[in-house]
Amino acid sequence: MKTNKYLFAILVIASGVGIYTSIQADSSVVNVMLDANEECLADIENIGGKWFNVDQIPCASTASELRIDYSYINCSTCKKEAGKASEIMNGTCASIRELDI
Amino acid sequence: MKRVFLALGTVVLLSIAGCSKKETGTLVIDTLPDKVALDGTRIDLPKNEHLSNMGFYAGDFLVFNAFKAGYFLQVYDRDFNLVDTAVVKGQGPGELPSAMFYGQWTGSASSPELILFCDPMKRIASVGLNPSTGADKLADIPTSSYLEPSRIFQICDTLYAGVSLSFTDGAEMFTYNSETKQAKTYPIPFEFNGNDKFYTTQQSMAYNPERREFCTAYSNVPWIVIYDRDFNVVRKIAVGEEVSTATVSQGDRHAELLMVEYSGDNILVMYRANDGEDNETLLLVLDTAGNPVASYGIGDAMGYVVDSAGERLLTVHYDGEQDVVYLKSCPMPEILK
Repeated sequence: MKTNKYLFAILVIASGVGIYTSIQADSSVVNVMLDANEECLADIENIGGKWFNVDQIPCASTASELRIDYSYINCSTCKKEAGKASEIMNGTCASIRELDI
Repeated sequence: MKRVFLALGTVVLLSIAGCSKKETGTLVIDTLPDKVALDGTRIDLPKNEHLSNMGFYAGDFLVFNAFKAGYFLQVYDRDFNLVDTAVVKGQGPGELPSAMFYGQWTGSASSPELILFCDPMKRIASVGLNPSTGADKLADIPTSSYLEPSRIFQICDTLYAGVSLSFTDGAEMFTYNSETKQAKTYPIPFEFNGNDKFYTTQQSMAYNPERREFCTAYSNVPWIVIYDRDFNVVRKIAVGEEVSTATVSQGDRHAELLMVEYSGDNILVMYRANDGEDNETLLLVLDTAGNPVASYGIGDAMGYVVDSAGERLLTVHYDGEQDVVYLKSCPMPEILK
């Protein structure tokens, strides 16, 4: 199983902001997939017949140091920005990658 | 007699092999070289409210990446006069919507060509200074390669190498061949776990074109890795302590390695212990095999610029009261001359 085909949707799950729509997967298939790759810690979801890997990545609202040689994920936009993230992580962003099965 | 010559020859061959043997494996530097304090005179550059911590000399010009400005680069002469602002926003068709300069340049010292990376377009481009020229495209990295370069260097006309920082896999070394349009990533030489590899694996990178070697320094764990031209690991170096990467997470406070650069026959890396006692930034000098050579205390510096031609070391600092970045000009340590 390769995960070299990345995508796309970045969904915000910042604390208290319920704009993330949970995607339900066929659990029996998920179990098979997880057994096949024990290192795969992400959720595996089936959307429209395609398989996706959904990872939750910690994000921060602010950068404690304006250093452009660091990057952090901004919780408001779920985009990579320059700066060193504050130590308090405010939520998570979801990164969805299409699996190349 | 023949046997004597044979024996002597064997001894000579073994000696040569021993001398040229590369230092490999893992080195733990648990005792840093004695610190020598470096201090210099404060220099406030024009338009210092837009300066970042990241500047480099490109020939005769000091070039800083800028932020919150109407352009992406601020260019100073050797007397710290602002002589140019490059990659100006709002130029219309053909403009770069963003640009980062990682210190690589070509051409002459008086008229350098800076190699830049534009993240939104995934474009590698060059711009000329003195006279200023518009951005020339060198290569576009296809989005289908899924590379997210956070450092990039041109190795030859069609080959680029750098660090790619993705949300889920974290920072990986990569190469991109603009002729074949093939991208290749190389596995991280440590085991990192958890869902915060985006943070824990971040690293700066330097390229030594003479030796065709690379060096990376992890920002959140005190590990340095030296790679050969094929991205084989030559040596892993733990600075101060041997942190286990397998259990490290974003909130942990370990020593940090802030910037890394090659300078002549040395590797320079900024080190901050973060141990609550002495948080002074150190500029560590290693030889190209990674062995410690010297250590300089540079106060609360968050960056440095080596001015080899001017024989001075510029340290970069942040003035929180005035919200500006300023420099200190220090005499070049003898070992770096």
